[in-house]
Amino acid sequence: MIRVEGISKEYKQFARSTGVIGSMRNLFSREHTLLKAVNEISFSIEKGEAVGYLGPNGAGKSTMIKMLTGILVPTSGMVTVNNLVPHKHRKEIAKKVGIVFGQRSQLWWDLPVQDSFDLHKRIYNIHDTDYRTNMNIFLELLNLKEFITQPVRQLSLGQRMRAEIGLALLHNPDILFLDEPTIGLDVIAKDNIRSFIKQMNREHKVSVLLTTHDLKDIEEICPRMLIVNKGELIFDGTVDQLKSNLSPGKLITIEFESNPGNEVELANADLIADHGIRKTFKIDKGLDSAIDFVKRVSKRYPIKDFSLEDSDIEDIIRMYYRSLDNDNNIGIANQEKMSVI
Amino acid sequence: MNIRLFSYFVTLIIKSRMEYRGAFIIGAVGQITGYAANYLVIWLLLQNFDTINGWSWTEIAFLYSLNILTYAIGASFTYTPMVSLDQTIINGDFDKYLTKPLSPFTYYLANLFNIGYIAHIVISLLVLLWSITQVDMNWTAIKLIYLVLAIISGSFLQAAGLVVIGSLSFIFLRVRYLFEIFFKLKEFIAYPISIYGTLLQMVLTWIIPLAMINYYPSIYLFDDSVLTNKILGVVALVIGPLGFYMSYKLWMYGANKYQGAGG
Repeated sequence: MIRVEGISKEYKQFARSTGVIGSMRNLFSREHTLLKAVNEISFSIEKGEAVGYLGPNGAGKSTMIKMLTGILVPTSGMVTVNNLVPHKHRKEIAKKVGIVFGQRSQLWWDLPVQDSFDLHKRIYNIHDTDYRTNMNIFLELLNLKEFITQPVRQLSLGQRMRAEIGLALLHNPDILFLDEPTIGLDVIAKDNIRSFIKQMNREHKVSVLLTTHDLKDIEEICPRMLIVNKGELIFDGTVDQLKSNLSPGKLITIEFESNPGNEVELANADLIADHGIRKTFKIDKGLDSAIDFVKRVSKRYPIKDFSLEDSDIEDIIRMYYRSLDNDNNIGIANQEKMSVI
Repeated sequence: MNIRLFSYFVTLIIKSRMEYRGAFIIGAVGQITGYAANYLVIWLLLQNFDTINGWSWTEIAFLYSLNILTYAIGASFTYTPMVSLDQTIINGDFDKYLTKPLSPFTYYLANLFNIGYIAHIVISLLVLLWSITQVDMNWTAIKLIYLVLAIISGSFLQAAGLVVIGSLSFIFLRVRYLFEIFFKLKEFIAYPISIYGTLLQMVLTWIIPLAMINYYPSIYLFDDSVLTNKILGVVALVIGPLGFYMSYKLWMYGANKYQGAGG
């Protein structure tokens, strides 16, 4: 469905000298440096997949979406969407994909939401029956019925985003691209949008590629994620794979009846926080050893209570970015040495 | 994009503008007053001089109206989109015009069609019709058809000027000052270009052919016994659509360049 092979995108950045003389000089000499926004990235996405595209600011996420939708032409490499090269078949691609830019609107600001949908019906030449079917879905699932007759300028950000997503799906696209769809929304609005996208993906088999900063978006919607940093693809796999690759371990906090001191058995575990009778250990291996560990400890020292926690996805990603900053060549296998934040 | 879709865009634009009816009406009244004042200035001028270079008040009113009418028609389609193109590109809003199964050119024009020029059209059309009845000449069916074609061609040419400058936004990013130069140049054709020196006349005929908008159609209509008037009168009908087509090509070239460079 989507095939990306060794794709790169370079931008020319003109060096700007400072000061009046510098800006005069800029008029005549245009020195530029090449900025690689996307560097030799390859991946493919099959029909019906939901993929999260993740990376810090400036990692080249939007650039990738723009190349996939034909807005931008790649500097080198090959992209096909539905076996078509996007920038050469822009109109055909436009019929097959829906796009939501979280920070740009497709809606007509001063008009009722309904008008924007009517316009899209005409732009995409949507058949009456398809239009009615889809509108009924959106009116219910996105709850558009609560504001469809209101001018867009009166909507809340969450309502507007629901309308944007409905609009992008009106022409039954095979693929939905979402560029930061939940940006700026409150928790409930985010939940609504995530569950809708998930439903369209699972039940209506719309392929989804979404960029985001919010990892919850990916956890909820996307079984697979691609992580990019500084234009390069650094991870392609599932959330679970990322977790097990990084092996962040588990944290066990044990509350003892009385302070056992520092002589607690330390096999397979590191003591990482010590508050007297409450101590936190980090265990590298799976859950079994955590239970064994607690059992072993409780045989020797009476314990009152214990709690077990997994590092959540945010911690994992944070570790991942940080490790890349520390040493660009460090392999995933070496990550186990890192401490949990 | 077909005409039905384009007119649906216009319907939505009218609906949007009517959300701010008061502002719309004030704008229209302001524009009509402004242009009425311009006519008044010319009229007062001719009260003292009788003719400008052999042109009577009614002939100049005809010439002047032809310029405003064609500008208003051309600008309805192209002024707002072209003047705001640089800002649209800088903001990154241009992307959305590349994500629909439509030509980005027509989609962009349709999306930013400006109905505000209705005021220009009303006043210039009224004066034009009045001047037709007053000008000292015989109107035939052919001449009336010619006039209609000249208005269409002139509108294309006015639009082409705006599109050419707008296209440069893709390269230079900021082109506002070029529009100012264009509007300054257009002030020359408020009067018959025969009052200027030869060099300026040549420029306005062959290099920046603004005289094709109103001057050459007018002299052909007023006096078709001169061969050069006839020839240039026909050229004036062709140059508008041709110029607009070329400006469209330039614009599309710019849009492609945008896709390559990434804004």
